[in-house]
Amino acid sequence: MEEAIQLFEAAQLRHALYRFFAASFLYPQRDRLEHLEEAVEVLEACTPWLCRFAFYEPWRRWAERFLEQAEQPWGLELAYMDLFGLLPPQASVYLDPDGLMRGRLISELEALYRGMGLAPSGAYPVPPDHLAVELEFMAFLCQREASIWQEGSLDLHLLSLERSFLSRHLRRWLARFARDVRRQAPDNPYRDAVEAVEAFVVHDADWVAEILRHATDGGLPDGPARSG
Amino acid sequence: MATPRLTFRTAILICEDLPPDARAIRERLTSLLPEAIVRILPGLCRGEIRLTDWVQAHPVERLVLGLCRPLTNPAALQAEARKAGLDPFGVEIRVLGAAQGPEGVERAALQLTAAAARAQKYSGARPEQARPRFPQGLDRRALLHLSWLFYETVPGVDPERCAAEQGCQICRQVCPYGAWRWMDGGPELDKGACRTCGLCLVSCPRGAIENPTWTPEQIEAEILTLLDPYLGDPGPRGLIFECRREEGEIPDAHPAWLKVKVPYGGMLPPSWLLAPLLLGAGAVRVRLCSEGCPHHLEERLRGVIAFCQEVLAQLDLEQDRVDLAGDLRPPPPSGIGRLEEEGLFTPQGVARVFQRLGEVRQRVAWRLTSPFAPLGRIELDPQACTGCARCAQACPAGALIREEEADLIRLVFDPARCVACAQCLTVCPEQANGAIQMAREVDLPGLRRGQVVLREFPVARCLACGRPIATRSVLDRIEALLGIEDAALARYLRQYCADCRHAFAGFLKGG
Repeated sequence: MEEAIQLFEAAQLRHALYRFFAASFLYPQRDRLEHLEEAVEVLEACTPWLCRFAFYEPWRRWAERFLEQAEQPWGLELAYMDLFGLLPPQASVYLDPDGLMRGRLISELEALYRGMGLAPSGAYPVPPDHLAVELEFMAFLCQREASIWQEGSLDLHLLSLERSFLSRHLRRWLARFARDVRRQAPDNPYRDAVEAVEAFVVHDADWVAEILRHATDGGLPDGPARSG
Repeated sequence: MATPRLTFRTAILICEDLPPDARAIRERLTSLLPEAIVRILPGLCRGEIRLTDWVQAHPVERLVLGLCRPLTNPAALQAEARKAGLDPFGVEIRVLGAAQGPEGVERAALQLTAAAARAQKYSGARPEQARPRFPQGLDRRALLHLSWLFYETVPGVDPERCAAEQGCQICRQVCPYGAWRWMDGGPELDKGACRTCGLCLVSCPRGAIENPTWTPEQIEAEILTLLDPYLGDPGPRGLIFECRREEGEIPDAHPAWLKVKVPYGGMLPPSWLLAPLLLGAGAVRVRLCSEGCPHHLEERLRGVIAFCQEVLAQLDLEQDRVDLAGDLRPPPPSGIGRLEEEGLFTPQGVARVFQRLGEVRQRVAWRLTSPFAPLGRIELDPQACTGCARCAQACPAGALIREEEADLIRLVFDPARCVACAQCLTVCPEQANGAIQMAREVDLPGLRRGQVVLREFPVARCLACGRPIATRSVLDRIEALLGIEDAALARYLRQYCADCRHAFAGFLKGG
């Protein structure tokens, strides 16, 4: 694998990582664990790329821990319930101005998702402020970004949306959530997942800001033929 | 201290081309640091070494590289370290100069030993303390080449120590680039705006702002080793604080001058310039990079140096012991001696530096007022101050303390902690009447006295519940401001606390 990465490939890689992390924070059902194991294998094949990023070490730690734990799914189920029963991975706990679990923040997020053409699904009753849902939303934006880069165009609005979603939502509460996890459940295997996602999200916010800075300065390629 | 203790498994890798003699340097390092792995590697500077393979064969936690020239692509080294399971920010790189003979060997070994000591103090970086960077001057295609993706550390906030809740905004006030913004009641760094000048690091009175590769502990560990009389050449030594952006050797500098990198020359506080004199340095110099410090930082540095020179004059020492790096003739022998003391570079060590200087030189009766003094002195006007203690609540340094005892509230001042941030002045409701005054000064007799009671205020207690209402002076002031003509109402306010008055009002309303 070459170390040069085109913008659409970077967006695809981010998409895959967001999806992997989103699935990591859903209840560890057997079939989901199998999918996650496959995802780890696929992502590990990208090591020559991944090791270039600052989040590589926490990512690798969680991937190794996950593979080790996935052999005893009941242990992972217990750890999941222990941790997220105590500390729900939901933005409202940290960000809702009125401290409500179904307050203004939920409405704001629903409106944001609707604005991008997404509607709640009855099949997965996960609240819109759940970490997995917010990560899935970012995965969706990255996928869209990848296809736009592939077409050879540039969508500043989409990049700005990614940046603002990260800074106004995910990044804003994730650090506090991670701090609570470190303090209250230092030995839970999901601590590694939380630290990995925190490192990835912080990095991604910086990455998007950097790309956006270059894009607004006119320093980005205008077609895949010139990028790479 | 003869040899630094290594708390982590440490390896020192030396480039084979290193002048004057890589083998002699290795021999010397092996005797100085018997616990460390010391190896000579050919092609280290050219990036031909697969560091991952080497580290996997020799599991280490800290790495020091002694190079003959700067790395062409430090990003590749970071990726190699990451792949090897090493934290790339914990890798210390020293580009060693071309000194000749046994003196050159001794000097190179000393610098690498100091780097190893510094590496022991690295305690990890949080995700928000790293910033991705593409090198300047890249074209649009190279932007996407990951082998050039480089990370550098930026300051981060430890929320446990941050005094933002008390209203402290010192980091925001001192930042010349406006990089600190307020988010959810606390400081958040705009990484795009931050130039990592380090001014916030040395200005935070609680040490809550940390850049993981520029902590006071790391810099102190390096300085302590460089100035250790048991290591290296026994002659006089001078210390040069050098801007991290400066790469080259200093022409015509005497070899007794030893360099320590700092984020920017302009960030240096007076205590950092004076502390090395206590640790064995004959003199201290500051070397700015060729670009110079932007904003007012260079001007600030000149003020700080002038202040340090005034301190030296008070101590009957030559003023040029602290100066900008100009003529680097042999440094004078230490006229101060050498203390075995740690913590002089932390925010809590500032006052100690001045106290120790005074004690060692037996000059303890001076007081120096200057806009560049790092300490402050607070005084209260007994006529205007009401003892509301807002100043004590707001003081981020813990220099103003509110104590309560029986029917008294006491305002206590600790001169060793005051950083002259003027937060107390900002929040004082009686500031217009001059209730509180602050002077930027180092006051050695004051520091020697320690904590002093500024004033005691009698407290009025609630007749109903017995809890304190406020100080009598506050109640007097409220009465004067409201201009209450009704004596009964005035008495009512003085006799009952707000909770009880509300309870009475509710009772009356309820009928």
